[in-house]
Amino acid sequence: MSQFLEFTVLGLILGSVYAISATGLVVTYTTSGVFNFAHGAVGMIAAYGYWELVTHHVPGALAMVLVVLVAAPVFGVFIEWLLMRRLLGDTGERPVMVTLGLLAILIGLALVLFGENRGDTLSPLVNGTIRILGVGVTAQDLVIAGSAAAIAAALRVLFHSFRLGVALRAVVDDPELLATAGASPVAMSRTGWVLGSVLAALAGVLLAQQQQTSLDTYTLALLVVSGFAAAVFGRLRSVPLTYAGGLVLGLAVVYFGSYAQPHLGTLGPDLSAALPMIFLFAALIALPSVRLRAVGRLSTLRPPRVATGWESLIAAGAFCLVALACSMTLTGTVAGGTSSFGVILDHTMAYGIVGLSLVLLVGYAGQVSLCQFAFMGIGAFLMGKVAGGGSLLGLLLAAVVCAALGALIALPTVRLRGLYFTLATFAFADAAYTGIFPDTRVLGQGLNVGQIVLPGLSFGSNRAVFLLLAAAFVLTALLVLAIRRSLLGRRLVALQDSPAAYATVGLNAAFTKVAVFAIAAGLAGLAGALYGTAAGTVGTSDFDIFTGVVFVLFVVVWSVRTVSGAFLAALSFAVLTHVWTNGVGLFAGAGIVLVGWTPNGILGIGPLARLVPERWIGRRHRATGDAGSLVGVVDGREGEIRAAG
Amino acid sequence: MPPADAPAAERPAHAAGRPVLEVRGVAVHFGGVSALTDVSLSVAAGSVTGLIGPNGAGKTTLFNVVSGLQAPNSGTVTFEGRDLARMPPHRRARLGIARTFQRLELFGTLTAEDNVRVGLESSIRWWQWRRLRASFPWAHDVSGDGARAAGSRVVSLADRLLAGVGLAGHEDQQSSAMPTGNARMVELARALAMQPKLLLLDEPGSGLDEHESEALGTLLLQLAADGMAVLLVEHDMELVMRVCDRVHVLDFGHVVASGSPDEIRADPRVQTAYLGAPSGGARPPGGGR
Amino acid sequence: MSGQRLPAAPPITVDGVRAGYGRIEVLHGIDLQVPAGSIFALLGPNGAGKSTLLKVIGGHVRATAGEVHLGDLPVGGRSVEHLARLGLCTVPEGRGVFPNLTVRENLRIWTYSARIPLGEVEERTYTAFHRLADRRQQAAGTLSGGEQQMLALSRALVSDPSVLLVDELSMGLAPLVVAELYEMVGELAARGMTVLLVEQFVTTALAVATRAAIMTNGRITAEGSPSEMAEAALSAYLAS
Repeated sequence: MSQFLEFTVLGLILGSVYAISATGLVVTYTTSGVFNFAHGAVGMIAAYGYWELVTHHVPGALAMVLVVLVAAPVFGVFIEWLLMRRLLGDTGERPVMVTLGLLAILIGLALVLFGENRGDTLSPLVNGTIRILGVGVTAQDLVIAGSAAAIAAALRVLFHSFRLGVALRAVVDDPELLATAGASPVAMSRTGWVLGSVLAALAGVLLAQQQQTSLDTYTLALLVVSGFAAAVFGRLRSVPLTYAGGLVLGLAVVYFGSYAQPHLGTLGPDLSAALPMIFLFAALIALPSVRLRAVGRLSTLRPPRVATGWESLIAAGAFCLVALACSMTLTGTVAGGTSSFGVILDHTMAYGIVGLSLVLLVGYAGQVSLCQFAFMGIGAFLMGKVAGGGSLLGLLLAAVVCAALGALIALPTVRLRGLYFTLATFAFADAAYTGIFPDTRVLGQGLNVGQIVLPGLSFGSNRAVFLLLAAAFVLTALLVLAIRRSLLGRRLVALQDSPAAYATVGLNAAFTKVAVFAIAAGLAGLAGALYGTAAGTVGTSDFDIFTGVVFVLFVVVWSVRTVSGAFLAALSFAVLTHVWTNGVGLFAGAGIVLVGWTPNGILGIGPLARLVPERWIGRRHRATGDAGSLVGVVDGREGEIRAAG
Repeated sequence: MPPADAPAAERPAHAAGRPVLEVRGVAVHFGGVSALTDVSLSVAAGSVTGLIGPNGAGKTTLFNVVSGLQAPNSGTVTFEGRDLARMPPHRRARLGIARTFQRLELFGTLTAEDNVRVGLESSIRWWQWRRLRASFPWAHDVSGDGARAAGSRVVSLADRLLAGVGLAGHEDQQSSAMPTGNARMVELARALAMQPKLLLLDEPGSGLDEHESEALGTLLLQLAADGMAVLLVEHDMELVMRVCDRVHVLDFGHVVASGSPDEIRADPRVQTAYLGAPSGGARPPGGGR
Repeated sequence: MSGQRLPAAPPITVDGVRAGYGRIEVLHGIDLQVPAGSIFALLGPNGAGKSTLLKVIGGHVRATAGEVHLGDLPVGGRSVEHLARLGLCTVPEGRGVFPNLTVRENLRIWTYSARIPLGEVEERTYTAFHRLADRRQQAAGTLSGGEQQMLALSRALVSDPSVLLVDELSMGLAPLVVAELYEMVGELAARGMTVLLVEQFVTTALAVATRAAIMTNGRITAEGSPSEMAEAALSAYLAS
């Protein structure tokens, strides 16, 4: 019994940690309509700022005030002015991309300024231990539990009993109406971001103080991720429900880890780390479907040109020649390691295929997926394990199993609106990365993926394996382009443009979305298998969730609607990760700011757009319709038109 | 039942066929606001049925109910004797219900021709490999003659449909860049590409000039003469009076009058519906069928 | 906020206004004089540009040419919220309420332009519209259409504006409710404000209006007394 009480107290404290970050997310969403993926990163920067001040002998309480009540509001005003004002009312994928870009740029900044790990712990604001119900609790834990409850209560009062709070809730629904009532929507939006930043900073410093480990950039920035589930539990709108969701989640994690996990220990991977994400996935599935509506808003985006069959074949031929030339510089076997140039080449091809899957998914179909790297990891695992390592069958299996898994994930989630779908892919990616991949039976620190050996043909040399990857990339590129020019491509673009019209011409939107997600997952799985066989050994860190997110940003920055964009994203990503790891996030983040004004990415900028060898399908067979006569009724889809009248 | 005094030349030969669409007692509430309180009407094959009424009377809501974008709170919708309750929009469309939208719902990033092609090819399922393959562009460019023929047939059908609504020469224009009138005709061509049995048109005449509007009228009469059932929501009274066999007047959520265009024109309740009750008093009770 | 509050019931002067959305011009040069303290009805068929004109006057849509004056105050370049605090009240098309907020919370938002405490705002509103009193804790979106319009109109009731712009008050409402709402508009005008109505129901609007104009295709085609306009409107609507 006393043990149960202890677990309960621990669970409530952990739940308060979740709640404190989740309520901040809810505040930002309620006041701006933006789900702020960078919320944790703001807290991380605040924690570092606090640490800097304290190491320069500023008293803890004063440092806290400076960080939370001075620096954070200034930061909130700044990002509202720079980025968020432009997103008010945008329901597309742009807000997600912009906040992910902010996450990347803040992590990049922290890496440059503070390094990945400070090797220092923050001393808590208050020290000491108190016994509650026979359980020893640190004063810091109590401060967090108290803050979480106080914040939730204060926000509840603000949002319902103060004019400012009511107006903050109203601004997202109808900024124009708010203006006619005499309140400035811009001022409201700014206030919302100030409030959100203050809460993020407060949570960041408090949680960093609570962490028993040293200050770690990634840990701090992604700490808030566990709070996503609580925020979704509150439907991103209700502070009390979010607080309750946080506590329930905290209890569930502690109970599961204490009671269930010991019995499962040998059966499966450690699920307790992935539990918040499983909880998030479950909370998302419980949400109501988005209603199909005619919105009457035309997409005015000018899409890039699409290459014709011959054009893409010629480009593919040229690509093959360049790849062949590059391969001449490669020597040695995979087992013996390869040159930096070789690694960059291999990575470009493998990431390139993932990029192509994103072109299909994000560029054509408008579905933002953050879990392509998770499918890569699964592909590499299958390649290494299931087919005995390095069989051609492994490639096939990686593609097929990932496609099936993709369909399984998409089935319950495609009916949700875009943001929730993206969160579901994030939940899956995080669960795979934290819960499944680290298990030594899956990837662990390193899994040996064998080399493909065919009768009379071995892909054990660096040159051969690169050529294999290049061939796979070029074939995938041709496939993606062909899909774009085919009926499938027209359907994907049509679905993105108007779901309501898509349904009313007799097409099943849910089926199409599941299918394209499955195809993209299969491609990512294939890329992972190839990545594995080229690298020889892969580990969990190869399929880092943050790296995966940053790669999505790279593709969006270059141009998520073109095959060239995917290739350039993969190339620059492979080069940057190799030569300047810390710059990867900075590049992606800075690029995303640019995407604000050029939706087609770098390749969408005027003169560059003309260089891209992709254009609208050339027309060959033009029928001579009798213009002027208004009557032409199809009389059999495969048949003839009967011109009447 | 074409009225006897209708100009014979403009009336379809077999105006009133069997009822294709039956709407019975449909009600829709949004929160506390009732958009439709009790609507019943039917649309016959081979005829144009008009639906008129002031803004906010619930006309578009009724279209959403029939096409499946809005579930009614009560009432039934039957199509060719089949109850459509709980049937998703895409399955209704496959049964032969096509529609256009008052606020355009084009596939904006596609060209006019590709908009129509999506409609033409909507019957192709993902597993119908041969038909699918025929739609692939390399069928035109790279592979053999059979596939090329099949692929080009779709293109030619699409172009002829566009020519049919007066858009010859506009095939390669991005549809979102077209003026409203032309964009409406692209939507109409896309709907016709599905070969519907029932065509729901939500203000197709707005944004058209006089000549285009007249041509649209002729087209609608021709479609009805070919046996299609057309339900027309329109503010252009001239068009409604010219092409409709029967007109229903919808006001604050229910049908207040039904009849031939001439009966409707003479009905005081219609004047009331459009111009408001005299000096704000109560309006004569509605519901004439 | 800078600027003086508008004087009670100023005239509205529209001078050669052109406006539109993107490249499409909706208003092709509008000249209109709304006399001080009048109830002016702007009539016309669907798509004539009435609502756009109202949006230009309210500061929502910027005129590409010409200027609107409320009394001596030019509208151009001023933000919507600034105009609201100077005494311009807009009851927009559709439902001018926040559906996710309760009745009481909506009234709380009205206090941004009302300059009286919430208690008084509530008292005035519930006195005029008894039905809202019972629903003060109910989300506005769950009210009936008529009740929502009452709530929207209550903004004019509590903020004592100088100019009141009303767009399609009767949309989708039963005639008895419309009559009640227009009765309130008449009462409001009697307190001393200039009222500009956009309305599709000619008879209803002309019953309260002191002057009227007809718009077709982005131009004013007729202007005169309500009785003169009744005839003209009939032919503009039912082309027969």
